Amino acid sequence: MKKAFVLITICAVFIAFKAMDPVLYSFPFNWPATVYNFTRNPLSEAKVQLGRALFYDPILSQDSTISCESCHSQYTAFAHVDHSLSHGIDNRIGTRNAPALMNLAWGKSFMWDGAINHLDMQALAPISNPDEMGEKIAHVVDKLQHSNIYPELYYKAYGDSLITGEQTLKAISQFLLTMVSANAKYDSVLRKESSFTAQEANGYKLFQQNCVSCHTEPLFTNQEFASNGLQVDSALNDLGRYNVTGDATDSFLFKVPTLRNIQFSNPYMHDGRFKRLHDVLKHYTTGIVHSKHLSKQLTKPIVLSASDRVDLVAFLLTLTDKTFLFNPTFSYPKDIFSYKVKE
Amino acid sequence: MLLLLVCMTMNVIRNLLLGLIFSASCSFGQNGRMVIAFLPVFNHQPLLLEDVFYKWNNSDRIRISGFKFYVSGIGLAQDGKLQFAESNSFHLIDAETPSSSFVHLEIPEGVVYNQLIFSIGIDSITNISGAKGGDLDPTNGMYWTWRSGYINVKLEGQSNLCKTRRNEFDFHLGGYAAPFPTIRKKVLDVLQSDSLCLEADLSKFIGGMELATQQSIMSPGKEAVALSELFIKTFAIKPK
Repeated sequence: MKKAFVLITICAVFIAFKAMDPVLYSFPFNWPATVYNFTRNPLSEAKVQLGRALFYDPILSQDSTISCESCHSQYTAFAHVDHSLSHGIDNRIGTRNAPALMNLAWGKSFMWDGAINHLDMQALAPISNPDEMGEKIAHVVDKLQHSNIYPELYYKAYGDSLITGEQTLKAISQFLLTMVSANAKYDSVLRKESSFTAQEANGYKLFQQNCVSCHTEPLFTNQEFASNGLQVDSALNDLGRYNVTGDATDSFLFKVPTLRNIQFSNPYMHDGRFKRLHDVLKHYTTGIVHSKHLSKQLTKPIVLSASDRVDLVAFLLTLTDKTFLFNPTFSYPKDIFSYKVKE
Repeated sequence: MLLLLVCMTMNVIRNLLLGLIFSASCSFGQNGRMVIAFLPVFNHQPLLLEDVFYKWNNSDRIRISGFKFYVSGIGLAQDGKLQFAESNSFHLIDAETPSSSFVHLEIPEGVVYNQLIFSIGIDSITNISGAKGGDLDPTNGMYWTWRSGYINVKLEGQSNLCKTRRNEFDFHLGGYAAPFPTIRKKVLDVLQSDSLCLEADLSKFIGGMELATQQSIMSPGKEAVALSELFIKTFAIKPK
């Protein structure tokens, strides 16, 4: 019975993919099944383009100054370069580092504390947070309805120019779902299209010995919550996962982030405290603060020589996916917005 | 001054209309169609928002500025055996929009029942299934933004009992995940009829609260569970 159900699910997903425009998805086939249920929101070109416009449009914020892209720019793997904490309207500063965005179709939960349970609902958080966009989704929908460009984009996407919150959130999901990064040098080595240098190969070995239990391949995260032994920042005193579960054993736990495109997604950690990869490795080798919350994988010290560290960084750089970082289909939609200027 | 007068008059008219609609409410429904009214009331009288201070314990006063809740999973049963279940059964009842109190059902012929079943709140599967439209659209203001999940019941107002800013209270009851799920089911014995009138009596709800010590709930937890238990008990068939 259970097997039949799994089979039906696989068929349904397959049919949904077949119904979708083939250029929109390029999901790597050796990866696990996506968490996102595409049958409920099948991708279409018009919806993806609508989502792309929304992603880049500051109309989502209260004073039209902040877009999603403000803290998630493509050339930094959709993270916020040089900013340890997220920035919002009126120069307000948030409490956490804007995470890199990629491979969200496989995301089980979102945000550093997993407070968001579904990709569709994720955009509500930054839109409504007073330190980010400071808006209300109902007002966003109202502004979109009265804009020059959106009624037409919604009509193209949904066959209806009456805009709803559901359509808006699902369109943003559509664009985010297309942002798949699975074409780094690491991936081409797995596909036997290229090979690691000796240094990278040693780095990969060290990675598998010391890091992989949390930064699990192929997503380079197990999506669990853990304390990685950072000294608690007393100014933020961020309790992390505890804020969601109310369970004291979840205090100071944060989601394990992906390491894909890590070369470009600095600064690192949930509060962006480390600027360079070497700072991160220094933390894991000599900086761990022991507490009852510390991840059990980190209770035994990680020992890396100076040359090991160099090799490990060399491996981490093989996770850079230039076809993702410079993919024009994810970039600012000039065509859509130039139309807006003309009007 | 004139504007103020106009506003006041409009409110009076609105409240009069509300009263009319509520009093006329239980005489619809025909040919397999059924209407169930979930009427927000205060001590069996139609709930009036904003303008009215309800007297409380002689000297205290309460004013309601907003009251919304989700009804879901409506069904009809005969001696505990389900005979009819509404599909996609999610209804946002908003005291500000009287028409939202009325749920219209299409009942197949021959359905015999003596019980009405419904839940207050949104089930966990719906809570984790992404963006929804209609009454479940997040633009309705019944979805938390900083953490995922529907707000099942929203009650906002003022009372001199609340030693808070502007004497305000606000209860946002929700939460779908263990150990604090807040959806609650109710089974009421009813007589077969094409219209049923239920009251959600805020005087009973607030009567069971301690406004002097508790003025705000904004997240899931045991407090939200306790008030959800209390709220479901306030539903009853409207007395004739």
